[in-house]
Amino acid sequence: MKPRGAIGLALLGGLLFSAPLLAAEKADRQEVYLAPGWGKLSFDAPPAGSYKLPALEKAAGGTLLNSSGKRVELSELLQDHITLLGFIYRTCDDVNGCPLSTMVLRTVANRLQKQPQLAQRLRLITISFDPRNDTPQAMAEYARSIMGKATLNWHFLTSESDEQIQPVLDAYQQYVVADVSGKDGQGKFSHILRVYLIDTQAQIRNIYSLSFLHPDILVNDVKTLLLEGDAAASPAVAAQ
Amino acid sequence: MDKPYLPFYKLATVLLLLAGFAVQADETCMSPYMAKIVGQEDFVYVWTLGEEGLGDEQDKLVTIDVNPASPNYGQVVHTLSVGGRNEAHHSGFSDDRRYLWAGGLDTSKIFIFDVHSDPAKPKLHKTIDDFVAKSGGVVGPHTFYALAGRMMITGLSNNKDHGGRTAMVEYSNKGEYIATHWHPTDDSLNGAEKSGKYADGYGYDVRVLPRRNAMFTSSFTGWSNYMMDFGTMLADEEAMKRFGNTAVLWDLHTRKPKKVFDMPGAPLEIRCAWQPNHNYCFTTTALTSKIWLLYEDANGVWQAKAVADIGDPSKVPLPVDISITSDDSGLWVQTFMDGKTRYFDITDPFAPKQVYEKVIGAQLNMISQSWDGKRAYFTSSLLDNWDKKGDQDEQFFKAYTWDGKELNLEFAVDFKAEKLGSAHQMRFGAYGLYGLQRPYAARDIAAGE
Repeated sequence: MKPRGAIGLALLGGLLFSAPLLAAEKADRQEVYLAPGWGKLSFDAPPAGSYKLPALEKAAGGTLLNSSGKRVELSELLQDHITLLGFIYRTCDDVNGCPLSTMVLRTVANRLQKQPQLAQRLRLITISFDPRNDTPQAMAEYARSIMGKATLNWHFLTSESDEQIQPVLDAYQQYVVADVSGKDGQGKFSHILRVYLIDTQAQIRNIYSLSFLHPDILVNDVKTLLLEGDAAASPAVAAQ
Repeated sequence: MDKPYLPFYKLATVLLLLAGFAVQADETCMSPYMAKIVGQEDFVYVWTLGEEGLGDEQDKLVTIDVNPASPNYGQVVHTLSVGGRNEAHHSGFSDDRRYLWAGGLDTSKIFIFDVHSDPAKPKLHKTIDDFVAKSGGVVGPHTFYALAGRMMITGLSNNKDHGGRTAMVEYSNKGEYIATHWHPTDDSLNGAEKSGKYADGYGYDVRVLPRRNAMFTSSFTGWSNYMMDFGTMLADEEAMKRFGNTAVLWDLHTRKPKKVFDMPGAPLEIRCAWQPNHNYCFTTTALTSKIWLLYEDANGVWQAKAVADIGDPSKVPLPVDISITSDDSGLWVQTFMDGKTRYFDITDPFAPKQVYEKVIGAQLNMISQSWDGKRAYFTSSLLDNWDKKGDQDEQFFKAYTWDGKELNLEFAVDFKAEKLGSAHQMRFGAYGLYGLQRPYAARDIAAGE
C-alpha cells in the first residue's frame, strides 16, 4: 500500500534562500541555481582584521586513516596551523554539496599559494563520512583529481568503519542521514554542508554553510586569524 | 513502494529546478540556515506558559499531531513540563533542526529540547540557567535564530535597570556562550550611523538576508514593562515611554551595527522576503499599528519606510505576530486586541493592501503557516500579564486550512480545558527530517503488503 501523505523534506541549510542567481542553465526548461560559492560574492567581504571571530569550542580529534592507509590522529593535524576542515563523501553529486566544499577549499589554497608566507600556515583537511566506499586508495585518487600536480598542505582522510567516523561526526555535529536507496549501490547521504575554520590552538573559530562558504570570505577569515596571531606575537607591531 | 520522504540530495535538485524561488514558504519565518519542511508537517510544538491554578502550573512544551493522515490527528500527543514558570515565550530550532531552544523571559532560563530522537516525544536535553551572567547582564532571551552551527539569541532587557537596553547573545549549538553584541545607543553607536532621532539600544527580533550580508533587529521593551500588568502599564506614562523606537541594520558576518532607523512604536517581528532579488524585510509596530518596510534602494543603501496601516491605528489593535508567504505575495498580520488575523497583498511591498480578515478568538498572537501556505496555525497568548482577563482570556491552538480566499477551521485545542496553560509560540516537527518513517505509515505499508 502506498503511504499516505507522501512528502518531501529539505535539509537545505541556506541553500535556497541565500543563493543569488550566479549562474543558470536550462534543465527541462527550468533554471538551476548555484550556491554563492560558485560565483562572485554579492557583497564585499569584510576586510581581514576588521572584525573578531570568537571561539566556539575546541575542535575534536579522533583516529582516522590518511590516503596512504596509515592511522593518523586528527588532533595532531590540528596543531600549529590554521585549518579549514570539511566533511564530504566522494560520490556526492549535488553541485551545491560536497563538490562546492572541495572547490572552495581548492580556490582558497590557490589564492594563498600566491602568498607563500600565508600558505605555509594553512592546512586543509577533507574527511569522508563514507568509509565503505571512500577507501584510502579512493581518497588518494580523489586527492590527485583535485590537486593535480600542485603541492598543497591538504589531507584527505577517511576511516576504517562507520563506528570509527561516527564519534568524529558527532563531535563536530556533522549529522549525516544515509539514504540506502541509491541505485548504483553506493548510497547517498543527506547532510548539511559545513566547513570549519580552526585556529592554531585547535579552537573552532567559524562554521560555514552554503550562505558564507565563499573563497572571499574564507580567505579574509584565515587572514584575520593570522593577523590576530601576529598581533599576539608582536603587540608593538599590532599597535601601529 | 514509494518513498514517503525525498532525500536531501534529490530534493535539493528538485527544488533547484523549480522556476524562481517561489517554493519556499513558518516555515516561512524560519532562518535561511534552517532545514525546512516543504511538505506535510507531522507535529506542532507549542511553547506554553504555565498558569497558576491550571494543571501542573508549569511551562511546558506541548506536542500536537497535525498530520491528517495520522490516527492521532488533532490530538495533544505529548507534554513536557520544565519544572516551573519562566514566562515561556519564543523558541527556535538549531540549524540542523535536531534541537529546539525555548526561552523564559522572566527567569532568563533556556531549555533545549531534543526533537530528533523521537519527534513525537521531545525530551529535555539541557537547561541553560546562567544566561544573564554569561552574557554580561542580558535579560529575557527572546528570539532563537539559527546561524551556521550556532544560535543567535535576542535579549529584551538587562540586569541593571531592567529596562529595554539589551543585546544579542551568541551560543554554540552545544549550548556554550560565544559572544554578546549590545545594540547601539547614543552613548555607544559602535560605528553605526544614526539615521534619525533615536538610538535606544532596545531589542526584540532578529532576521538575516545572507545574500546581502545583512542582519536586522527590532525593539520592544524591558523586563519592567513586559512583566507588568497590562492595564497598569497603559496608565503609567513613564512606563509607556519605555518602548523601542528603532530597527538596526547589522553586518551579518562581522556582527557590527551599521545603521539605526527610526521606527516609532515598538517594531516587533521581522520577516524577510525569500525571492533572490527581493532585498527587503517587513516588520510591524505594536503601538502605532503600521507595516514598515526595510529595503535596499537602487543605490544599495538600506532604508526604512512605513508602508501601510493595520486596522485603525487610533484604536490600537496591537499588531503582534506576522508571517510572510513563500512567494512574497502575502503577509499575515495578527492583532491581539480584536483577535483578528489580516491578510495583506504585498506584491507591491511599498503598498500593502488588506484583502482578507477573520476573527480567530477573543485574543490572538502567533501564526505559523506551512511551506505551501495551505495550512495556518494560531495561538492566543501574548504575555502572562498582558493576556486578557476573565472569559476573554481564551487560550487555544487552532488549525486552519487556507484556500487562498477563506480560512477554514479544521480543529482546535482548548488549552484551558486541557489544563495545559497559555499557548504561545509554535514550531513544526516532522519524522522525515531525521530519516525516520512515520509509524502509522509503516503500519499501513505492513497491512498493504
